Amino acid sequence: MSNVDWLIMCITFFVIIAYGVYKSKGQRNMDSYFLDNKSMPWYLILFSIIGTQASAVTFLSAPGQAFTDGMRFVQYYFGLPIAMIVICIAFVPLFHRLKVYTAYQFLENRFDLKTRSLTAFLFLLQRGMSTGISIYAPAIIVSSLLGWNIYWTNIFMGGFLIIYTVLGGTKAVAHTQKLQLFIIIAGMFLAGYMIVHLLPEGIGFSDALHIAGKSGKLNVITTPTNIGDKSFWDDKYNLWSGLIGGFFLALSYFGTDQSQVGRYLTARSIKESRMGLLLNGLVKVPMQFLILLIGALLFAFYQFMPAPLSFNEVQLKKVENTAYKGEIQQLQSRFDSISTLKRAATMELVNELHGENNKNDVIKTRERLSHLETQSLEIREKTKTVIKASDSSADTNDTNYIFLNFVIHFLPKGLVGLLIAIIFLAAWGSIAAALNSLASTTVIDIYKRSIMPIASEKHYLKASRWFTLFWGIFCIIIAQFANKLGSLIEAVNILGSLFYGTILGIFLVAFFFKKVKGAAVFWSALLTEGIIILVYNMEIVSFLWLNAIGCLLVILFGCLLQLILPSKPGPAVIHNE
Amino acid sequence: MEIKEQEEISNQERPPFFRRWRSWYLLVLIVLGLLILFFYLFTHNYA
Repeated sequence: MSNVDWLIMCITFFVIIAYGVYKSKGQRNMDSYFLDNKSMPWYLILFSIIGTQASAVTFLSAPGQAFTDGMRFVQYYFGLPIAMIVICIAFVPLFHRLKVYTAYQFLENRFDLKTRSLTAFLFLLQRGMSTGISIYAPAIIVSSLLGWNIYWTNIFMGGFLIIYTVLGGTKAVAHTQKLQLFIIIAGMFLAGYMIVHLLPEGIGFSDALHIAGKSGKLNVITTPTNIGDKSFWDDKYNLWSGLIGGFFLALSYFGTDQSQVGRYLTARSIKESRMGLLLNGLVKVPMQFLILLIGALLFAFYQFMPAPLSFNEVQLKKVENTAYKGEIQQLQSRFDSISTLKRAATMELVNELHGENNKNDVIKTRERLSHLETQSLEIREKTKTVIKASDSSADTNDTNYIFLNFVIHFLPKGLVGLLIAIIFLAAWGSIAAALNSLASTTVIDIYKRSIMPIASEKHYLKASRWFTLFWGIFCIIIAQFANKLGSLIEAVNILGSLFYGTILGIFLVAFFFKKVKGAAVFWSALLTEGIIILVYNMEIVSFLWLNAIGCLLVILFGCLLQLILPSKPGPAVIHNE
Repeated sequence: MEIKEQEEISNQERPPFFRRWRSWYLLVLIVLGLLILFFYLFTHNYA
């Protein structure tokens, strides 16, 4: 990076942090620290919800996902708008009426303490691990850029975030997320514009779309119908898994995950919460589509430009200093030859599309391109094997490096610094909200409820800050292992799917199955979680279906166990904290 | 308190632009349907 890039990056960081700290003044108790005294308008709720979900993982990994697997990942978000409607109808009025700090407080009122504690524990486990991955995502940028050790980079990155979160609180998190989102959206459009601008002369946006489309990267909608076949259930992203599995995942994430519930609980009224959530339902799918489109455009871009053998160039350079140097050079030479042929074939395809549009010619060129692409992929796979042979601990998955590689090598001075800053800001917004929610759940649902029920407001505020520190350290430890998880965005979603179905099932029983009591739902949740982990390990279905299965199993087991177990009356009064 | 009762109470807060929250919910569903249709056409146009 040039001095100009460093300067722009540092100024952006300074402005965001200073703004966040300035906005966090006047916190004296848990009400202001966790809920901002319930004073936020709908637009801040909207920015905060989007900023919490869209982390650096979204910005780094999604373009890479589209580059390698096409844009079908967007279908994963189709269930989200429907989930927003259900949450507005069933969850929001209840949470506001009970004046809760966390979603899990409601479960004690409806069931019992052990069900509340179990659900809070599942959340803490899942969110703690996911946040660890969210620390690792921006850390790979620094390690790749500066050649730093990834483990030390994680510690540096996580340590910085802990300080920011402890000082900031909920209000600072929301206000900085607002600024971060503006910068991220601007950066996203700028990156897309630059990809098209840097294409060879005569190749435009429409041509890039045709190139990506003919290579199967614009597969936004996929509708398999072979429901009796195993491949249907193994298919990770299609219209059905997106609408059904995505709906359950979004319902669980926005309705029961404290990192999101904590955002709309800060709203000044039910109306403000609902507007924030519904507008999120309107903008999330198009926003994700645009981020993925950048990946598809990048694919078209690299048909004309020389792509590296591995987008993780730091790893590749390490191999060049070993006995495997010769093998890498041979692979590079073959890869370059194929890239030259691909460039020529792509140009031919564009000319055919511009010209008389002879369908047979287009099909033939497309087949040739497809064959060359397969050869390219084979060489990339061999490269991964060589990297692994030279260093068994090496990260061979370069999906997360694709967008970053483009930013570093092709964007002009100044823009590199801005885009790197944007990735950091996206990470900070998401991680800050997560640490805040982890601390609030630990303090409200465990510490204050079961360990220290009577203490001053000052004591609880102090405890909240200490627990934020604890979770920050926990997440850093998880971050050290994140490089073993492949695509980061997928790893986060898999982790969510392992726990969200069970948590959602507990909440749906609470809302809609009034006869089911605490003991039945508690044991059904434990049983379901065991089954879900077993199903995942046996690779019976794609992870997105685990949300729906988990949720339905909790409801089913809950109803059955209620028939067997002796029925005790539920709590007579609302538990005030 | 039943879900329907909660809905009635929270509905006392009128939404912006529409008279009922139901209209907002319908709008979100219509936009989702249109987006899926657009994506379907987009996929087939460039495939």
